[in-house]
Amino acid sequence: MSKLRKSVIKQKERSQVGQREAPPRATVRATDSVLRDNYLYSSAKKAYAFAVIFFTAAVWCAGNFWPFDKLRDLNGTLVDLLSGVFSFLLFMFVVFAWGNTLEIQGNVIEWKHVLFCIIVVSLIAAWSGLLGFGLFIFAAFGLLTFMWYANR
Amino acid sequence: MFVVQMSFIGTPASAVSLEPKNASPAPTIDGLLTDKDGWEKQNSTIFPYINNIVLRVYTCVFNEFIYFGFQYKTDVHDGNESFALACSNALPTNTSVNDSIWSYETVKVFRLDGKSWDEEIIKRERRARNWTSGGNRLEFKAAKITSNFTFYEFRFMRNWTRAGDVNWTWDRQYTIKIFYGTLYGNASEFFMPSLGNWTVSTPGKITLVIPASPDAPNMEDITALKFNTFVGKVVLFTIAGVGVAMVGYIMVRTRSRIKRV
Repeated sequence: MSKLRKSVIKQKERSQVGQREAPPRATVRATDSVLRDNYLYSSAKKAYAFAVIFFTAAVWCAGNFWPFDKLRDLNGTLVDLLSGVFSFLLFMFVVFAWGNTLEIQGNVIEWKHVLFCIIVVSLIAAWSGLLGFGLFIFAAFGLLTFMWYANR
Repeated sequence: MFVVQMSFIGTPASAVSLEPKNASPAPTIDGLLTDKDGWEKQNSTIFPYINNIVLRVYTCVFNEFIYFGFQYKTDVHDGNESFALACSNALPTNTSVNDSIWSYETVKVFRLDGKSWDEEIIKRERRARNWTSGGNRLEFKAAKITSNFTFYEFRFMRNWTRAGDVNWTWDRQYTIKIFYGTLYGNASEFFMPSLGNWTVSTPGKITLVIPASPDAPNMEDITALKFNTFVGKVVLFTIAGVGVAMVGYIMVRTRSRIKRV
């Protein structure tokens, strides 16, 4: 091998070593990842805020606290339905918030997470009579079915 | 000839049933809705109505007596407010009993001023029976609890052998109906009420389901577990709250991880 050839190879090797040792620079991909995480976190925060609102509403309604006790005297079916709707919205936003959080961590929401949410919300929905509880269960499984097919 | 236009307490439903359970202990007939231990453990049915008018009917059975509590809510109560419980020994399938008060064998009338009237009507007898304050066989008290609520509570012999009166035996179903009126509280109306004048009632006939036996479960036994208390409710809601808060904690922890990265 000629000297020229050898020097060219050495130069290439040096340059490659130099490239490997160079400090990492903020690439476009890395910036996108941070933006994505911030976006997911912001979305999770909003979803969680809604979850807290609907948690309060569901507890108040299903627990038959004032003024729902008065409303129940007028129309018990309406209160049961409202309670079921609040429970479902609570479930939906908790799943969204948790799902986004898990995605930031590099994971995806799994059945165990969803089951946890169903059990937690069922503790509230069970107080809203068969109608409210049934509405919650059907709506929750409807949402899960939709998400299942949407992600296939 | 004219047709009496009936109006209803409660939205018309295809079938309404009252299902008294064996009470233990029985409610006290004192005219107070605040007798919560007595009445609030019993089965009740609500007849909602427009314009903020609601009739809630409590009922239970204790030995040879059957108990009813009418909680009536309206913005404006009439001074002559009265209720009539039309009772029959007919089964729900019997077509001889219809929406007319005349088709029932017995009617028990209760006025807000505490007077009651109890008589068979199947023969349309016009006996000179006075309004009374009740007795051993029919005990009655009425009370105006607040400006919006009145409460009528009464008990009578469930299986009385008097001809034309109720003869409700265990494990059977019977037809009843509740009427509302404002014409029967007048002190000058000394004797029996004019039954034909009742023009407001619960929609349709009501099926009264008598318990299977005196040993059948009472309301206390079939209450939804023992969580059905305020404390149980708060405990379970708190557990649910901790679950939701846990998701929030995971979020906050993830946020600090993002910041570190």
